[in-house]
Amino acid sequence: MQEHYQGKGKTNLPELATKELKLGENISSNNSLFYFYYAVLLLSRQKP
Amino acid sequence: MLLLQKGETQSATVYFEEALRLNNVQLAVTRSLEELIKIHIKIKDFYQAAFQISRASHLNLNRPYLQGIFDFVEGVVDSIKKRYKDSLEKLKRVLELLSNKDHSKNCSYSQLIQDNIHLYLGYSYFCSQQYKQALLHYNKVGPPHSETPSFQYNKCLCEGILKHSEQKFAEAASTFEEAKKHMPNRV
Repeated sequence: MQEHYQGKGKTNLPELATKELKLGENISSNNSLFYFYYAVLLLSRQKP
Repeated sequence: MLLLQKGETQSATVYFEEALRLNNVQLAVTRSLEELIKIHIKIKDFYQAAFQISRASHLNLNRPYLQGIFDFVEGVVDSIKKRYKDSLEKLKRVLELLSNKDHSKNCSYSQLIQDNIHLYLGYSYFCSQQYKQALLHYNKVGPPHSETPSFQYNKCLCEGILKHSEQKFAEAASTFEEAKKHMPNRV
């Protein structure tokens, strides 16, 4: 999952986060990535 | 709407903090710290942004990736603390980094810094009495910073001082008058 945006700073993060969180089983809740993606989704909500 | 936006940012901050607490995936930790710093830069809370940087030594980070945003924040804090020489050194280094297209392409904070750096470089040059350089950077500042009274005031002062040094005294006087209009209580 990390390879998807490794070195690609301008990847559409909210889109990627949605995709990765849907996969679910790859990310456990004791993983930094889970919280990072979740935070990115929250931040993306405030954009018009 | 504003409250909602504030609420989302606060909730997001909690999750970024959790990613840092777990500290087990370098990429997520790096990007979480970056996002926290960006949130503070956007509200011009540079002391909090600097506090985030001070946590870096305890975290599993890709430090070279974050070096540009670290230098930017530290450069701005230096200018706030009147250490203009240090500030100029760091901010010029960031500008050089941003001119590297490969770096800017792969870096998600480059746009935010591009939007802010000329304001602080201009200010540090101005306070170092390098007025020509200051004006050069002030002319590159775009909205929303360019529309604030404090920016207009500083820019007019800079232009006025330059005109005065060129012995264009009448023009300098009218520029200083214009500065006064932007911040009447300051003069």
